Amino acid sequence: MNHEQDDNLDAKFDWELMKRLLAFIRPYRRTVAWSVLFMLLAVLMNLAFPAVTMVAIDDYLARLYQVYHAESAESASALAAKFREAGRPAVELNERTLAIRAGDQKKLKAGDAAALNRDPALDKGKYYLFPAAECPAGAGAAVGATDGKTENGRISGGGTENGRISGNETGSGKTEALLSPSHVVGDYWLVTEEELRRLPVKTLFHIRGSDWRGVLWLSLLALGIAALNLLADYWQAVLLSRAGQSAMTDLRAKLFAHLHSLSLDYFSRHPMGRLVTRVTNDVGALNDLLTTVLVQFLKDILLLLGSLGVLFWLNPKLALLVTATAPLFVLATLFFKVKLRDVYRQSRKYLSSLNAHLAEDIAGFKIIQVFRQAERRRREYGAVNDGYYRSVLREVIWFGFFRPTVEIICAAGAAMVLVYGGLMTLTGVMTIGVFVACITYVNRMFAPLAAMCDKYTIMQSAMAAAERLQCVLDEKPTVTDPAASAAAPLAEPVRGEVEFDDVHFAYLPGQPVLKGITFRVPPGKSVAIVGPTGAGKSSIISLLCRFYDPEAGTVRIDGRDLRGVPFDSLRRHIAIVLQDSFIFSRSVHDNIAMAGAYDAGRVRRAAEMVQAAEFIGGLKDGFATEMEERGATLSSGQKQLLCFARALAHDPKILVLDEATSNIDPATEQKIQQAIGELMRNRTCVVVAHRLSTIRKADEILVLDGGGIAERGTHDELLARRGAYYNLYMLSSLS
Amino acid sequence: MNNPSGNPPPGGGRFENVRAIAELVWRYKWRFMLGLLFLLVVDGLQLFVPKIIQHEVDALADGSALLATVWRAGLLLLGLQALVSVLRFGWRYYISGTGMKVERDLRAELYRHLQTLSLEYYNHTKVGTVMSYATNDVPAVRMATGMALLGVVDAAFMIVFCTVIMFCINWELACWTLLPVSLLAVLMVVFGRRMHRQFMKVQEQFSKLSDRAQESFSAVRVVKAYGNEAAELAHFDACSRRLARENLRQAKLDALFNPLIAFLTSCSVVILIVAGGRMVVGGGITVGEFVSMSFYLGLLIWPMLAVGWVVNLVQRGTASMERLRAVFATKPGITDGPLAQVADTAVEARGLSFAYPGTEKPVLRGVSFRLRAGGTLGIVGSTGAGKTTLVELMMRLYDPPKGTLFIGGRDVTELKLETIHERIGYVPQESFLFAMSVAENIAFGNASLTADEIEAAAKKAHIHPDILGFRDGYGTRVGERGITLSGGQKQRVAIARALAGNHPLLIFDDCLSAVDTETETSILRELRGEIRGRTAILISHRISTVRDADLILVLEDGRVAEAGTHEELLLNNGYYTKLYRMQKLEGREEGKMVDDRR
Repeated sequence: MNHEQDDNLDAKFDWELMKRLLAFIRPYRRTVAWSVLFMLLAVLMNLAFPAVTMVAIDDYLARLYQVYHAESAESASALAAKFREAGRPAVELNERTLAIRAGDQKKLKAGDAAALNRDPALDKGKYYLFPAAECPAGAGAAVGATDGKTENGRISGGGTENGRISGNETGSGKTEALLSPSHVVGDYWLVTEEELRRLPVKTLFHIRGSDWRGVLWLSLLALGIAALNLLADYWQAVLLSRAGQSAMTDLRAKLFAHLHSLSLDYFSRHPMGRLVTRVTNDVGALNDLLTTVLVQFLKDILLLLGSLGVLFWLNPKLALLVTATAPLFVLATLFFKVKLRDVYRQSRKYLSSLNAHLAEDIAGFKIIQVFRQAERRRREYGAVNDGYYRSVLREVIWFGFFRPTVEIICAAGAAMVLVYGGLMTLTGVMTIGVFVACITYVNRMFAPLAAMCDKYTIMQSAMAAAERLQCVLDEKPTVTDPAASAAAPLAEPVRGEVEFDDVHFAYLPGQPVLKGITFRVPPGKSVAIVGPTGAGKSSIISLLCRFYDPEAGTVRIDGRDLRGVPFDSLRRHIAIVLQDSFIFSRSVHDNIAMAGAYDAGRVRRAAEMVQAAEFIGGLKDGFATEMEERGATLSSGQKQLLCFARALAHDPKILVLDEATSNIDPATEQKIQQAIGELMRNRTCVVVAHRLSTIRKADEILVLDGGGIAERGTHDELLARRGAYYNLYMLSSLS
Repeated sequence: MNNPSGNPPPGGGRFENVRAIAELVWRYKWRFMLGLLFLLVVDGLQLFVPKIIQHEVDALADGSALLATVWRAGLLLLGLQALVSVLRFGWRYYISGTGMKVERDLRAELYRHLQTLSLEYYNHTKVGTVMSYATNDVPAVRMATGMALLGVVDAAFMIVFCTVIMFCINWELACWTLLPVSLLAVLMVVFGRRMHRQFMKVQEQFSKLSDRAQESFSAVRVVKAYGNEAAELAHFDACSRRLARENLRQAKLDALFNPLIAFLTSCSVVILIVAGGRMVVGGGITVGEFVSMSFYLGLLIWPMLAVGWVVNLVQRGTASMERLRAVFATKPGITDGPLAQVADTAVEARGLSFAYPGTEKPVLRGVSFRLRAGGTLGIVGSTGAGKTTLVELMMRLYDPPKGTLFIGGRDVTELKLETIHERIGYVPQESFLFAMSVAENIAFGNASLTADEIEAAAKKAHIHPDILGFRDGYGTRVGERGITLSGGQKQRVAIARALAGNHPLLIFDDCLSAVDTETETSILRELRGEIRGRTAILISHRISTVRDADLILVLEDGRVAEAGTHEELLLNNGYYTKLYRMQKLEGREEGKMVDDRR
């Protein structure tokens, strides 16, 4: 149940804390590493995918050339040499004419590129280029039919008209639909897109066969990339989740074991529900940190850097320009972070009191009904509910400011690309494909930025939970097991002598519960402790079982100070029966045997000796019957008997019994009295007694009052003394 | 976090759950519609983004682009996005904000309904379960209203528009390209069902783990005493591993679902490259058209993923709605009767038999008695004999059959609850105090009590000296953030609370069990004075408490085994006599010396 919240809502990112939690992930680092590897693959594929479309456009669908018709063969070959140097050789159509791939200019040295751009010899139009040798039959026929014109169309060093190389017109109706090359230069044809579209489809596919095949190959590549992306995404998530879940299981076990190693004072200081929350909900923080904070962040950052990297590769200047928006971004995030944290904290507080209120209402349902306070409680709950609504609404509003701010910054980046990239494309420095890709990558760059903003809340609550976990793990048991320091166990055979030597004890400093208790129980003897509420009876038991350590004085068994006896040895020889008969939701056998690996015979004998075997036999599966939570199907008498059997099966040297006060019908009462007699036989017994029968059987009675021993002696001695015991006795005998 | 078991399924299946969520949305239709209007405008404006880009690309491609074209595109984009951002605030406020309103109102409604349910319901429902209705299910339903609505409308709009535009560019190519997208519906159906099932499984396992931990920590003394830590850990760990396994299964479904949607859109791109490339080569479309086609396709990716997200939200929302509907379908156990007045507080039972709803075994069988107004009734009997049930029926925490139980001569089922409750001062068996100050706890039934009246009640209950010893006296807070009272102190505060109202009918249910003998004796002395002139019902295991009563009932297995005064019953030589002898002989009172260190 997550209805308890804590106050440490102000969690910040704490690297030390992270490292501590991440230690739980270390055993699964290989899995995480694989997951990250898959993630890298996914990122790579994600980045590569848009590039496919870019290549499809630039290399196949719009493989465009510009024509450079030089004044002299020298200047043409000089330019050709420059392109060769740049690694982008131009196609030499004839000695004075070059076909330059659109965008190749930008590979030239900056001065050369600018000069070329200004050079009137460069045709601004863009053409498809086909080798005449590969001229398809259909087109060839078409060309053949207009042979003469083709001859005329051949660029014969003629002039350029309107910045365009004058081409022949395809006038005759017969060839109108056919390829009529604007220019046939050398062994190549230059065709504008518009002209190209006039050709019959069949012809087009013939002459652009290699383009079409390229596109097909690219689509296969794209499909492969998409499939790889799918696989990588899947395995990344599954592996990460596997590591996360395993680490969480370990952490849960560690926390659980740690909590059980803590002393009882810890449990009395912390509400049960909160402890449960630690091992159930808060542990989720580890998974959140791993999957959301670490890996997703890493992925976002990689995507961001990857996109930026591609941008730099495509066009460094443009990338630099886009990066300029980053400081704005950081500023906005910092500003809103503070605001958002405040409202977030406030709504968590409201939520926590909403939960507390409801929990209380359920527990106090009866009282609220009978005292006619339903209306008032509803009003109060409504007020908190409204408060929560208002504070969450504030969250929405601040977030509503935050996100648009981020979006406008992103838009500014995109606008810059449109303008600057557009300008560069305009001047031919950038191809259309690259321009398109730039826009795509800029968008891809901003997406992870926004995603990182969204993860802030998750990170925050994960850190808060991690802090709570840390608090638990840092808690040290106040009662420590000396087994670690190789203390010797109790010497066998254990006699079972119990001794309290001037024992002082307080649960809270300054509020002493026991003030100098001294008594000795010889082996095999019994002592009954009686006294009014709050006299410290149960505390004596708790000290004897070493749930707590005394403030001063010593508790000894067989002359050994308990603080020097390993837990293990101590517990083997002491059995305790508590007031509250706790039944676990396990089998009857497990409930009796507990940690001891006792066989069925021993368990049955124990049950028989306390007369529990009879009702156990009546259960559905006898000793194998699974109990309900807290033994819900058993009567309180049956529960007590079962607990007696548990103690008896243990066969302890020392029995500690805190008699239950719950009221039981006379028949069961008799059974219980007999069972207690059975339990106490031949054992050293320390009993907080409520039954006269038990008290009378004791070898010594201690009358406790106000943390000290007021009287001690046997029943008859104490009655004869007419002191505190006599008063207690007389009070109760209904006179 | 708890499984929905324990409540009858409300029936109607998943469709009904979706309808219930739709009804919630409908209740806030105007605000949601306003939000959606903002959303649609935003979406509409966003569609111009590719247009701007396409325009520029085309201009660049055909060489008609000028410097101004480029600048215009950039500024347009910036202006458009700025406008979009401002409008987005509008939908965030109206959709997310209204979602919060849904959550608030649903929670208040749930609370109101929970208050009307009978005690019966709470006996069968774990606190954790009820808590999780308010903490987990209500927010889950909220997400399925506001956010899911947003997701659906946004996605639908984008999908429809992009589709339409793509069809306008080239219907044939659009057909081919959008083919994989249509598989999304199949994906949703297949995954939706499995995700729902898996989600329920995870929840169930989670609540089991909570129960495990709760049990183990409650038993910490026993565990320590028997050195059972290792076994506890093994039990817990087994459960924890089962949870991890279910979680992993859920993660696997999630890990497949979203990437599959992304893959479908990628497939669309592949088809675009093939089919679109063919058309470009074949002259069917221009390069510019191809580019803008790919842009619109890119715009589709987000809505597609959003559809997946919505499916998830709706899965969770319907699962939660199912649980909430089960609660809402639980009928209020107890309803007001028409009568607001009774003559006095005489109590009478006529052949009262009662079994808890949904059970066979009667808890009370033919109980009859008459208690005059101002008289005292003592009830004794072993555990489970029906003592508490009897008084709870008088207070109508449960409904007795008609014509069997009367207060002031009126059938309790015909009385207003208010009428009954304002006459009763009640001390329950387990004293429950609220996390308020001690004074507020005592004045719980009547907030207008003066400090003097509160103190007087505390004195009568012998808790006044204890309270003065607390840090802030009467202002000391009780509970987790304040002090922890001992069992005896709690009981006495509860007694003070019951006495504070001057009610004509007092019901004390075994209310001194945690008080030591001396204190008990003096409280009893005080109470005898208090109950003079009032009708009183005392449940106890102790003869000393009931011996002065005008009428003592001995309940045995739901029947009145014996009835009469103390003296009469002693002559009977039955249970009462036995109890008397036992307590006299054994000095039973020591049995009440419960250590209460807290």
